[in-house]
Amino acid sequence: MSAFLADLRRHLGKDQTLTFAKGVRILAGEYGVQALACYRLGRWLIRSTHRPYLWPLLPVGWPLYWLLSRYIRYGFGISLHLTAEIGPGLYIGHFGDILVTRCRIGQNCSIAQSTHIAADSTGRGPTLGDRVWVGALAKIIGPHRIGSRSTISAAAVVQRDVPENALCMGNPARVVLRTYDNTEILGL
Amino acid sequence: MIRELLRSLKADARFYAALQAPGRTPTPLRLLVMTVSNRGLWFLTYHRIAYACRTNRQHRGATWWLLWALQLVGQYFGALLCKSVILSDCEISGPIYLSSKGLYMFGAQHVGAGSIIHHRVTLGMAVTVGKPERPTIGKDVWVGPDCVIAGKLHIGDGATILPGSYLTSSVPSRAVVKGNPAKVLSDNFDNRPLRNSLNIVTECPPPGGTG
Repeated sequence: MSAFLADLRRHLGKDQTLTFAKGVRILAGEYGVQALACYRLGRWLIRSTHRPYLWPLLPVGWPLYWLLSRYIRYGFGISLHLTAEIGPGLYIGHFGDILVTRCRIGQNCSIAQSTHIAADSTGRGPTLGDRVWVGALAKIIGPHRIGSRSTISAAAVVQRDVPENALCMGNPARVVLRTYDNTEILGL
Repeated sequence: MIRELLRSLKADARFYAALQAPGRTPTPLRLLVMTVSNRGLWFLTYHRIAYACRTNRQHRGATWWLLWALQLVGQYFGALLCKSVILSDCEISGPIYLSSKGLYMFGAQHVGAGSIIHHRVTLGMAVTVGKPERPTIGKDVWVGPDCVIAGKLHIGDGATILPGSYLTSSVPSRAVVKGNPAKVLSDNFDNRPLRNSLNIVTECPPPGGTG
């Protein structure tokens, strides 16, 4: 729940406090937040298998998760699989053809439309640090490490590791700047 | 207002019909089938309604509220069926072609008549903080799939953007650009044959290995 509140705060914008009405408005208006809510529900259900007092909720929870995830996946094209470990405060810019599977994403990251963050054919996925900004149509596929506070430009295809604080762009992606400050475009 | 709207919708359907069956005059039934069967045209129709609402905001009658409700429904179904969003103040000055696969993120300021824009194209704002900087697109432009066009830039009339390009600077008229980041390949290219044959891109095999 605290992770989902962090997600809501990221979608809220700078210098604004989260109230109940604003939270409901964001949840109703932004499809990325709905996808995140569905993902956090699924992760909570996975964790609650270790808590026997929550077992009566599971026969309701899993069908609900299944319905919601199908609606998000086929309706808006956002698939955040439960095999991904997403830290609190993810921002999903738009919707459509987003694929996040088998990866590890740190805190306060940003992704945009048509990004693929997924495992390659060996089954190992990428690891993203904290405060990584990933642009539209970017592809990060395979066991690569993206350092904290680095920026993946729009339409970049990452095929190797990216150091911290770097800006990388192009297809195949190469590091353009070693010191790039992305706090402004992250909106933090 | 409603007459202008219907005229622009009819022009769109005619344009689609001319592209898909060149050299034949479309029957009214054919136009209707075209409108129902192409999701890109649904999305364009929704945008025409939203734009008509926006430009006629000063006199709000019963028709205006009806169209406003329609565009609200269209916004949701545009996201659900076409997976696209468009800013309602984007000015499209004539019939354009949007392919049926959707996934448009339309933040352009102006799109000229006769342009052909394929699926998964982002015409976006630059990722800078402050005032939004939006692209403008000229007439008769061919934009291939998977392109990102972001920032305050202008694409000249008759330019060709090949698939998978990432544009951050302006493109002169009749130029061909390609690549990520994009480079100008040719200065003078007539893209009329490309615009008249839609099947060039849609018959390509899908890219593999992206999960």
